[in-house]
Amino acid sequence: MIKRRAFLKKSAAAGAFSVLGLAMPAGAFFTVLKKIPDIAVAKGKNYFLSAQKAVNLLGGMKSMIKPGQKVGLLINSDFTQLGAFVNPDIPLAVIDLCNEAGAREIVCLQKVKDEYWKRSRFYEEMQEQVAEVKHVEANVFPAKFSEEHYKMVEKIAGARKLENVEVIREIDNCDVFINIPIAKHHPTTLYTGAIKNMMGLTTRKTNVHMHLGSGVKNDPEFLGQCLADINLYRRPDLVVVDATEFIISNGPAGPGELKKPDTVVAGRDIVAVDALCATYLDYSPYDITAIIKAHEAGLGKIDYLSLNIKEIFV
Amino acid sequence: MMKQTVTIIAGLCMMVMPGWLPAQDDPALDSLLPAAEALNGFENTDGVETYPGDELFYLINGGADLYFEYGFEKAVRAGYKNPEGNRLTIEIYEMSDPQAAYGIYSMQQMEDDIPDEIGDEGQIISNHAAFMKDRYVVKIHTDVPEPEEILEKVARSISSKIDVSGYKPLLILQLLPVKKTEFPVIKYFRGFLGLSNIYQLTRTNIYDFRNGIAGLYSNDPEMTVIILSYADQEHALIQYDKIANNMSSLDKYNDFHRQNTTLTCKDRKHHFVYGSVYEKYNFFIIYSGANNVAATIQEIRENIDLITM
Repeated sequence: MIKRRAFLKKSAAAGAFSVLGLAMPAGAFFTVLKKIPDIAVAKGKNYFLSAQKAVNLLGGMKSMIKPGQKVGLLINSDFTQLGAFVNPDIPLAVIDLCNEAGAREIVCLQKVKDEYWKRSRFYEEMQEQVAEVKHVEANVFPAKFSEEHYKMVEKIAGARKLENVEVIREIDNCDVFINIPIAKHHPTTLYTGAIKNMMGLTTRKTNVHMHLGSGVKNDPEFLGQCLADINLYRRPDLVVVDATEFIISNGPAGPGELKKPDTVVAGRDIVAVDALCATYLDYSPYDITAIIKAHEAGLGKIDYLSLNIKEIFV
Repeated sequence: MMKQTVTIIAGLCMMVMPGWLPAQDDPALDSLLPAAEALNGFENTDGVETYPGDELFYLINGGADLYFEYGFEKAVRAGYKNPEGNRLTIEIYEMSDPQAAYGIYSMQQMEDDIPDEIGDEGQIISNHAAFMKDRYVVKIHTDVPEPEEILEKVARSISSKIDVSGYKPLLILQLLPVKKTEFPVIKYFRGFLGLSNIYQLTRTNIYDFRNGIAGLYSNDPEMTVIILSYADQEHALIQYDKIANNMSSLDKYNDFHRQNTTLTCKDRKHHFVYGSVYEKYNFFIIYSGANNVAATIQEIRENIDLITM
């Protein structure tokens, strides 16, 4: 585990020259520019464009999807209050890129309602593509186990706490898995983003077990470990986080106080992406148990500033 | 701000009044749902679902833990539709006692919003209404284009069916400083989750307090006062020692100094943090340098003296 002291020193050093690499030695600067970044940060008011530019910075969707592959999307869409659900412009941008890359099929691993897509200003021009997207209809809150749609996984390799997990079968059929959460407040985990969004792949019974399974109500340590454990089941090929406008209190459903950084963050390292996004809510990643546990599980780097981060303004 | 201050003053006056009304027999929770005439043409289409105990997890998609920390009994949810196809949902949460209802409501109340006069405390925000009365917390949501009228009508209908006004945690609320500052936004909590949602002093639960109160003073300069109540002074001292030791080990804090029963440090956002134990209370003040923290400390101590006399 990386000690926070080292992390803070790196944070301070990074802050001095910014993530763009300004004031770095010239050679290092150009090396960074040429290299595909680990994390892409796109800022701007056009969230559709920001999402696409962020993915393009990572090498583009074609570097992640081969023609004919099946893509699974996990979108945090099932809330109604502003700042509690992913702005639909962002998954629409991802769907557009997936189709452009030649995806054979796109499936939402958690059912996304029609009314959700209609909140996007790009809905009309994306309507045909939206109509082609499939959904795991059975995976709606509160999801119930059925043999057809779920399977029981007694033990996930490497998991420390989570057992007898009821997980959606369709994830196993996806060649590419894209996790699309919103960064926002959550009263139990304080921050929720990509790591916690993975609860969307399991039944409510499994989710409740994550909350109550230690035998003690309100056990953030147990919940954090379970979240790390479920992420061991399937690592995302891509994470695209909506940090455009989100609630910083009264999460996860809201209404709550809003923060609006107009930012989309993309990366392949789920821990690093969440670590960065937690700072948008004024948390250190070391405040968030789930991020620490996921890092300890080898799912990614909590010390996100040691990675190559590229920021653009769209 | 004036309306908010008046409401808070009224609330404080209410809570210091002795001899609140005793709780009456429990009404069936679904009997609190509004009468048809309050529904402006909305009809119940989804039935009425009841969620006792741990089944709350099947009603709330995230955040149920906090309800349990306060003490949750059961909830009902009813869904309605009007001829235009708009939806209305009502959720009524029965907490273990009125203080629990006040606590969960206080945690979910938005800081910048002016309270509306619904229930004991209530708010209408956009297409969402919430209020608390007695040991009930009520949430109403609709997607009608101009939602305020229907939200208020439904809220008042439910509120009128709850005969008893709730009471707040009287003693601990009186500890918050109000003399030299504006009235704060108040948060009442009963455990680690509630505390962490206000300010994360430590990442691990080492507190073991009975209950706590926080005052959020938003006027420039900002200040947060957190007071934790213990069974007795000995317990408060033991826990203070644990908290101070844990804080001193965290990289979150710089310039950590500890002397007898006080501590001072700076957090990563460059706020000053002052902590102390006094009688059976541990209290913490998170503030910017411009605050006259000595006056705040003095007032908290005087308030503690007043209620322990």
